[in-house]
Amino acid sequence: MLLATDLGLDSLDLAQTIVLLERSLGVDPFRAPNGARPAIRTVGDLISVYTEAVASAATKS
Amino acid sequence: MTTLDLSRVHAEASAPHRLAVALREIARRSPGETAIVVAAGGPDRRRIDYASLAAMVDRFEEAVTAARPVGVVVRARKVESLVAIAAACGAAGVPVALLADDARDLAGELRDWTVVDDSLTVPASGLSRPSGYDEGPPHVVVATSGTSGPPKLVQRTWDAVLAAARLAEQWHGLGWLLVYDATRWAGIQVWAQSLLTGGRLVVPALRDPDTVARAIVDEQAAILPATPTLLRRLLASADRSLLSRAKLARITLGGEAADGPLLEQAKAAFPGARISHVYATTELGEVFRVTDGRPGFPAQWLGREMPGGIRLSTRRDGELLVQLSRDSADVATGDLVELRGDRYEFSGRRSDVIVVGGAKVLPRRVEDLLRSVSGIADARVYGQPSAITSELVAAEIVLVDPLPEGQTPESIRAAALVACRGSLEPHGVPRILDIVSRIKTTSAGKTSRRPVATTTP
Repeated sequence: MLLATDLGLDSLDLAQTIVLLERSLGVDPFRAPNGARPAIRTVGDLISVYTEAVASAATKS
Repeated sequence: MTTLDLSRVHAEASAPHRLAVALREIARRSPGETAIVVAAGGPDRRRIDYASLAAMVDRFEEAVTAARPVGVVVRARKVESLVAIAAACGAAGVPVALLADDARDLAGELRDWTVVDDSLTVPASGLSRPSGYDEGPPHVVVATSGTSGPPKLVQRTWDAVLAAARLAEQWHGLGWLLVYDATRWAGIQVWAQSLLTGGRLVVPALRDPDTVARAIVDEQAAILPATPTLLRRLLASADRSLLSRAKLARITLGGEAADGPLLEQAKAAFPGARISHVYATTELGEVFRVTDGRPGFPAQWLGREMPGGIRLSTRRDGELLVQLSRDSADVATGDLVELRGDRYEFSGRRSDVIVVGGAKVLPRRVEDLLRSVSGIADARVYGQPSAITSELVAAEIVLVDPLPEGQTPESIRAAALVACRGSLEPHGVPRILDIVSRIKTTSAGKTSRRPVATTTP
């Protein structure tokens, strides 16, 4: 499902979602230290980016 | 103590000596008169009379005169020690630095100076001044409040420190509340004013609204100098019956812009008080004072020479510029003003502007709107960093207690969002809206614009 076309999420909605997810998950994959920003188009993209970020945070701690 | 004696002291003593001379004169005439009430409104309340305070000044002046340090950095916890050290340093011709806790790191810039604490002794380890050493007139070093950028040290002459003090008879012997940090410019103004004029300096035990209200009532404080944020908190949260017993004659707001609704609330809560608003910065000192109880300042003040030779103007983006005298350059204040009717009102600080996807949002405008919603006592708006839009508008609200009938925290939160969507551009509507028990303030008592710490390590 496409975030913009199907769900009508604009950039502000996405930014808000990221802040809220950071609060509950403790990670922000969009604030990568190397500056690379993951490309997100679908709900599936979002889930996999967060799954990976949470897993990598867990191995670091 | 007659007014005549004090007026003579003010007129005859040079600025660096003025505090010490005034304290001694008041102590001589009214030794048992209260100079400072510390821990007011709390169980450990203590009073210091003018005789004791003057004796502390004498003792420290003797010590500092003998040791001749390059300068003194005050690291005292007690207000009375801080006052005594500062007054004695002025009289002894030794520069003195008053540094707030968050400016302690800057003391490294003064490494040749001697640190003095509540023991009022001058450690032997400090460097003393070579004979013939002259650094110009004794001065005071303070740290800026860090409202715009990190705190930095500024050097002010005693003339500048005491320039705004009101010395006329009507200002003598009053009770002054000190809610500011005694090491900051605003705090120094309050204690110097109070002690130069034989007043009672009332220092509350804590800065929570109930303790401050109790200190005002118990000590019969007449004058409350405060930031709008501190006054708003007092009005919203302090015990109503306690507040109604306050006998405030004046409220002097400074440090931030005061909005119309706050001024109205203050007039209603303290009908006997005159409310004025001081526009001052650590760098410029007091620039002007608005006493008509309305927000902002009269539009006709712009571009015309004001008392003291000050001229105000604005940049194209609305930033207020101050020219202190005809031959000095404009100083950019970082404060944005906009014309509303016959007034220029403050719309926020340039450094507070939140940038959302390239569009600018002034947090004060959103805060004013949130505070106008029924059930909301106070609000703070800040920029939440975002990798997508650079920043997002985020807000914290404090609810009134008790809640209005039929309202819940969730219904108030929803009403706040409806109000914002109805009046603001989409990027200005808070995307994060939290209910908190109190508004985060800076150490200078201003509403903080910093984001909430995130959970990311």
